Amino acid sequence: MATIPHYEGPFRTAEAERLLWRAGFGPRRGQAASLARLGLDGAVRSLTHPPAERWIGPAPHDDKGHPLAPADAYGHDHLWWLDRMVRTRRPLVERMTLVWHDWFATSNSGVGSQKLMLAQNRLLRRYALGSFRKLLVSITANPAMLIWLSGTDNRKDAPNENYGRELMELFTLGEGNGYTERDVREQARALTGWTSTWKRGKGQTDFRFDPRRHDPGVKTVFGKQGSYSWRDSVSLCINHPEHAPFFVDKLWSYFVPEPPDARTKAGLEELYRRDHEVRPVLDAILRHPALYTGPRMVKPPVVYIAGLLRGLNRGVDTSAWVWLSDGAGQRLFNPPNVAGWDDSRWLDTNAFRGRWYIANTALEKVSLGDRKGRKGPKVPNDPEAIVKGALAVLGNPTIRPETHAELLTFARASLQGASGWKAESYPPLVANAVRQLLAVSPDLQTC
Amino acid sequence: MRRLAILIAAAIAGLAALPANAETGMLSFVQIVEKEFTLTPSRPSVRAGSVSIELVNFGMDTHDLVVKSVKAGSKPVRFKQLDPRGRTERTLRMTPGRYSLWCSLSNHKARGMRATLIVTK
Repeated sequence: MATIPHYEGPFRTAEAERLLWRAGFGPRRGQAASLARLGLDGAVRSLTHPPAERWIGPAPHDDKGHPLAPADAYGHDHLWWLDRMVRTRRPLVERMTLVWHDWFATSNSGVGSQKLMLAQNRLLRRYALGSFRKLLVSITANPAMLIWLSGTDNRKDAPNENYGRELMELFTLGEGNGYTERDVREQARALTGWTSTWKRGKGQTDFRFDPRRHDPGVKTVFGKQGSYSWRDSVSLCINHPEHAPFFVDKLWSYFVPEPPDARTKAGLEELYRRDHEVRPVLDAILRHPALYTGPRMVKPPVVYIAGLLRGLNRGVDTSAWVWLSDGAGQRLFNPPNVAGWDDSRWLDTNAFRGRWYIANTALEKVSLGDRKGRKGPKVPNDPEAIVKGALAVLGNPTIRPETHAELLTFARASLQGASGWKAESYPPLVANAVRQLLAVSPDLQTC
Repeated sequence: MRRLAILIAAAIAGLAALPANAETGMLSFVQIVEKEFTLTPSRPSVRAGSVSIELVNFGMDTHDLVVKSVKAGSKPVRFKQLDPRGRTERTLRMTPGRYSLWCSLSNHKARGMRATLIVTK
């Protein structure tokens, strides 16, 4: 077996922080230091073998204090999941649920039922670290997916190619990689048979396989012939020689921004081919040197928001996160298309503006100075104390010395000549500005 | 006095529109998804009291919504017309009973855009 490199460098708070961001939603206060004490192996194991779920922090609510109704109110689905990201003790499970949501990107804009979207979300979570084969079988028969990619419209007398095409192009093999247009048509035939019943007041319900709608004839897929069923269709893709390389490349790309070297790739493919379990592959990726020594990655908007809230010890207490996250390019349960989110656009000029608003909203409850006629705590007229305070408010994230120096330069320049009444009124304003600049700095937008 | 009379009349009819900022304790939510030509509540029943009814138009045509108790003499509550991808919300005070929901535009109701919502105690 090809040996997969293993990170041998120091595993300090900074490395633990990166691990918590890549494999979750960033550290809570003090969590990175605690994780560092476990060492790399212990830290990775704590993520890949998490404890039972127990929520940390206050229950979420909307702006009026009402509990969330994720199946029944616009945006509450997004808030419900964001809350899980903020309060979970199983960050890798939630992060992998997000990975699968992007991988099998299904949008409520086409499904039209938050209830079915939430059911799919539970499915993705169930297989977060489990068997990809089982996940693929289950997602193929998932009601939200059957609506989204026309599975219930795919019948023997009118095959629909939507799911068959994406099954190969996006889910298992990659565009044009080891299949032909004929394979798409033949896979569509193999996948025929799904249906549902429309009931007034309930919508589409009773999703089931109806053999009368299935094409039982012989199909030719990847040069092999058989009377393939929908399960065979899934197995043919999983067993295709191009599947493991595709799977490894795609999974890796969610954790490390540069492709794996040949030796790593071969090792990960071998690991995956054993039984198509996700956990061992994740385990190897999270111990890999490239994760700790390679370039930084841009945090997806929901990861950025959840991480800010975790660092601030703040729960989900406003519906604003729905439009703020949308404005930064990521509305949960509504990916832009079946290919998922385009992470090359996370920091484009439009989406980046959204991150300014996000930082502002995240920090507004701890902003300093006079608020509603009340005097806030006194802020020292001291640039260094102000920068130190800003770091503390955001959970003491690790930042580069250059960023620290820039913040200090800004604070000094802003407080220069602040005497008389300005000596008291400027420091809180400057402190708020430093916090905002820190929250939107490259150091906090990336990990 | 006139306003009070209107509120009492509406309450007798089983359904009253609340001011947007009214806080009456626990709020129930139900989402109504409309498209051609279906109308689907996110749940078959809600608890009596303040109910947030959210209308979402997933169709390609304009739709509206009428909510009316099946009790004789009840007054309907009309939601504004929604363009495709539109969304609107109203919070209503609802008493226990059975309510009919439909789109009142053109022949949409006859074509299937109707449903029932049960309000329980």
